[in-house]
Amino acid sequence: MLEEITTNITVLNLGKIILDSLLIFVFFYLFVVLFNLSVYYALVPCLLFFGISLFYDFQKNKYLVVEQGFPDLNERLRTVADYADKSNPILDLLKQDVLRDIRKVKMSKFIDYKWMIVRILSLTMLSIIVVILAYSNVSFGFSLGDLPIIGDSSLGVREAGDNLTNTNLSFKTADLNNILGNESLAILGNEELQLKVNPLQSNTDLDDIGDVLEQEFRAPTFPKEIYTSYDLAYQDNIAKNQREVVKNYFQQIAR
Amino acid sequence: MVGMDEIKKKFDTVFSEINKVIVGQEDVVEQTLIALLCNGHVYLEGYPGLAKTLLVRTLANIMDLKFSRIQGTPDLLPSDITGTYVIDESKGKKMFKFQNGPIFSNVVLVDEVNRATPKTHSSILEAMQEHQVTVGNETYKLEKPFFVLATGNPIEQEGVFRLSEAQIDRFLFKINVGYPKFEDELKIVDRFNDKDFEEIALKQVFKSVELVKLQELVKHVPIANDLKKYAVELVASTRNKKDLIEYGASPRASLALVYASKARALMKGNKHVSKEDIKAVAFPVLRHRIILSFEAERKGMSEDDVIKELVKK
Repeated sequence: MLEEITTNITVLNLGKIILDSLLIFVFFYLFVVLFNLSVYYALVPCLLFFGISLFYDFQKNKYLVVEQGFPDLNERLRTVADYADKSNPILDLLKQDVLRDIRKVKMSKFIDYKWMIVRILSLTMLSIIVVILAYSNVSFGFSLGDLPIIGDSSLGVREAGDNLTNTNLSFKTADLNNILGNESLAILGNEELQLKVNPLQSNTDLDDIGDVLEQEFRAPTFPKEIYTSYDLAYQDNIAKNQREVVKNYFQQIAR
Repeated sequence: MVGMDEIKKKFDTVFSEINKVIVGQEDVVEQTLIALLCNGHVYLEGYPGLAKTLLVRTLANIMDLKFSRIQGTPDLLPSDITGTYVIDESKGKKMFKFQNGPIFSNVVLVDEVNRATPKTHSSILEAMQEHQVTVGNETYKLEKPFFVLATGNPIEQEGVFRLSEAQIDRFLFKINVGYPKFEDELKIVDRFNDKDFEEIALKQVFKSVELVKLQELVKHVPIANDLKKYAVELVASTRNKKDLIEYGASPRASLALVYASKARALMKGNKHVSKEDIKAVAFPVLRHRIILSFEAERKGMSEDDVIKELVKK
């Protein structure tokens, strides 16, 4: 009976701590995203709060919490708990009394509904703010990248493409030759180099159609919306003298 | 099975019987009974005429206990208290026979103990501590229960031998007996205007054997670890409050505090010790075990004022 009470109180407190930690995380995450900082900055206060609260909760006497809720049990519950494995005439009487009165203990008494509603509402509000900001094209990429990451154009709202080098879909100048392949093969082949535009991270207005401008595609001057990708599956280890044969084979099949 | 309600009822009867003789002084009566339950001893301090002796005598009557009284004087010898060997010629030849002194009683009232010499104090203290007396080479066990109430007069300081700190520490409680309230004093005058104290018929509530059993039962009253910690912290705080207390209480005070609070709980018919019990007995347990600093005395504070401050925290 006593163990059940402590377990229930522990679970309730754990729930409260988790909810609070979550709230702290979302709150800090919002700031972190707005100021272009690493997600670690949001995780650290959240974990710190979680750890400290958990430590204090374990230190807390759970029976005292019950007694505060049920003054009828004041000091009696703690006494019985401390003498759980002992027996004497007075103690036995006390245990009987406490066992009778403990049935009146309702766990719902320990749930602070007002507190809970405030927390849930706060979490909901923060989540709505996150959604609104996301809709306003603020990036919420969940990056656990290096610490700290501050945009080179000073603090400000991080927008799509600002930090392309930090994503997997990055523009890689060093690997450009590998992606394009051997120049001689490229001339021989009829395949087009596929350039993809990521519409989610683009500032490009697709409705704004105009004359094609001459663009010199040198490595560092690629528009930020355009990136190249390749798959490792295409990096065949075909011997140099057999490449022509393979290429011809595929061309024959394609006809 | 112990009937806690029965115990409470019995003590309520004790109180009502004592109230037939003693008017007011509820705290003094309660604390004296607690000390009796703890098998401890009491130092009563108060001005003359405050019914200290009457209280002890009444208590002895109610509980069917042997009562004796020793008047402390400077020429009082240890043998006057413990007893001595006298020549016995009843069997035809001269033999030394031990003649019990007044200490061989259940309730011993030592009136104005501070008038006796330190040598006499020592003989009383041995009896208090060891529940035995040594005369010559022989040691004699004292009857159970054994309860010493020593009284002291706080005003007269000439020709007295103050009990040392170590000696006074042996008393479980120091109880201050104050003047009664105006209404109580009026009641005293009304009640004893036309009759003597001895004329009042008192009911015997306890037998001495029952009292011994209750003393054993006190040990079984449970106390939560939190409250034990509180009691020890309270005593330890007397050693840390250097601004008001020069010398704090010893661990003996912690033991006394916990034990006395158990006795109080039992007396009230409770099956466990509460914080209120500890707070209530903190005053008689600590007041003779602390020595106030000059600063506290300069502020005109008494031991009780300082303890009140400690208990408040």
